[in-house]
Amino acid sequence: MLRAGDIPVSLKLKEFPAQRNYILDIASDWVSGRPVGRTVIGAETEVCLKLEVLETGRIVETFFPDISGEIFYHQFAERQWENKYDVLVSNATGILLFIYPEKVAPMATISDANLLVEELGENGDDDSNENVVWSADLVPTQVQLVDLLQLHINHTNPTKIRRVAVIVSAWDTVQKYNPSAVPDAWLKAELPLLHQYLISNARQFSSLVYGVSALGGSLEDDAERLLSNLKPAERIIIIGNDCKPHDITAPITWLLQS
Amino acid sequence: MSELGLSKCKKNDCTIDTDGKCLEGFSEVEECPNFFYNEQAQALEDDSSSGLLADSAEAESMIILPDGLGLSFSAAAKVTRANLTRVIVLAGAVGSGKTTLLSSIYERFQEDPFLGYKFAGSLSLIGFEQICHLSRVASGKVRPDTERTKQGSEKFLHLRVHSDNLEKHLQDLLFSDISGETFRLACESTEECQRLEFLKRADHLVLFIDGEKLALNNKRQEAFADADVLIRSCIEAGMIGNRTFLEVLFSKYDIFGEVKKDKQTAEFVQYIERTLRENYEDKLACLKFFKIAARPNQASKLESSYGLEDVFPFWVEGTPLYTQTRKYPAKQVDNIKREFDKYSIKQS
Repeated sequence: MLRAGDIPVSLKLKEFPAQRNYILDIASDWVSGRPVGRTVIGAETEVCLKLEVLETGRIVETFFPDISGEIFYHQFAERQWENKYDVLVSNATGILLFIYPEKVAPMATISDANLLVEELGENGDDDSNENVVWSADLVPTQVQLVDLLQLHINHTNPTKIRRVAVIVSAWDTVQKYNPSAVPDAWLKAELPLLHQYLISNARQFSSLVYGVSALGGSLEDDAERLLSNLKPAERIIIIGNDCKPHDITAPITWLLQS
Repeated sequence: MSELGLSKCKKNDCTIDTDGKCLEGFSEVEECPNFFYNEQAQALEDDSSSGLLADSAEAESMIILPDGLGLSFSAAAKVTRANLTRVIVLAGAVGSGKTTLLSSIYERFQEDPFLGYKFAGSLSLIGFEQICHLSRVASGKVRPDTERTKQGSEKFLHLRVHSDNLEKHLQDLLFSDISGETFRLACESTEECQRLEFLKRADHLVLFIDGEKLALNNKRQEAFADADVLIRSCIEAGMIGNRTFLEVLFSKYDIFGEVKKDKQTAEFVQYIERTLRENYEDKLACLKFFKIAARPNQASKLESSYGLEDVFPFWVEGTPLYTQTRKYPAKQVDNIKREFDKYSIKQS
């Protein structure tokens, strides 16, 4: 999108990054409708872009560490991170927090489950001898996310992190069931603990919630429609903070304004 | 035993301060009843316990992060030094519902703001998740339960809240998670009671009376006696007094409240309230009574955390700090040298 410049956006690519093979590869996959591969552990990289904020003319050199999602789970479960990651956190001024709706693990209590069983008119099971020991992977998603945010924001005192942009990805899957869904309301309903945390700490850092679908739909079910756009960027769905249609740079622009 | 070691043990042949291994075999060394910190090195440990480079055979050095569990006494002291904090000590017999109440409050916040407050953070998210585990489907159980707090594993669970209208400041809360066995020992001995130094720092002492026992003829007197003896022990040991807010919670109201045709239970509850007021109200800053059901059974149709609508806001907003000037008897001032001392269980 930054390279093509064919859609009104809030950022402009000032110059090509010196090392650009990684980002060109994933961009090529995206425009061609090929699945963009997940970042695996050990293959993390950092993308450096020189950007111009069009509204102000300000030039900003931005560093986007592309980190495997598993790394964040290990941080939560093992309670440690690498020294080089520590340096990144110490210098970060903003966070892009990605949430994939279909992988949100809710809090499931026995009381609620038994209520459901009763409503369905089923007989509950007898007392079970099963005894599953607690482990980190059983923790609800919203608790993990709050904990990770706290680890990052509280890491330096005072924190440099002033803005958190929450990206609810694959927003097309949310819209499929609720076409009028609003990202902030979705977060409040689906991850209420995280929503409360963001609102309550507004004096320390600002937060906004965006619904984003970089693909614009399912490549399996809707590839022909998606790939028929003359401008690939017009596939993009983004909702939140009155951003321009398809302007996927909007969350980054907002972070850069801190 | 090294005088310079951070970790110390009352047993002379324990090597905890040299190789980190507990002679009694506790993997979590703070669970060992013989373990205590070397006070001279405590400040150094507090400043450097997180952010340390972990020993690792791997090329990349790792930074240790806060463990997210319950806070030790020293870590709790750091919170109160940094922020305006309410210390809420939950006391009562084994199985009276202390930990269940904590898990209930935490789970309500996972669903929505609770009783006019929004969740604003917690240093103990892992600790809360662990105490809630047996109430979750993932535990494999079919009836919700709460794991008993082990003696020697005493800690504080931290919660930060913000009023719903966001007008007030953030409020930190420290809830003690202490075994009923510890309080039983405090009832039996003045010395044991005086080891519970954190009682002096408590903004609220919350005393649980087990409602399940109140509903039984052969258990109710014992339940009342346990509570009465604990209050008296704490007062006579100088651990609570006219600077203490005491809330008596009749727990498991879904059980004893259902005994509608049994007038004896209702009358006995009134008798308890009357007697405790007569005996102690003039010795405390405040004495209140509540009936609660933290995790009511389905048949009762009561909502989760029933009865907390008056209690929780009082914990957040109320403190004896401004009710009257704090005056410590001279001997108590000498014993409280540091903020840390207010949170410790004094080693005998």
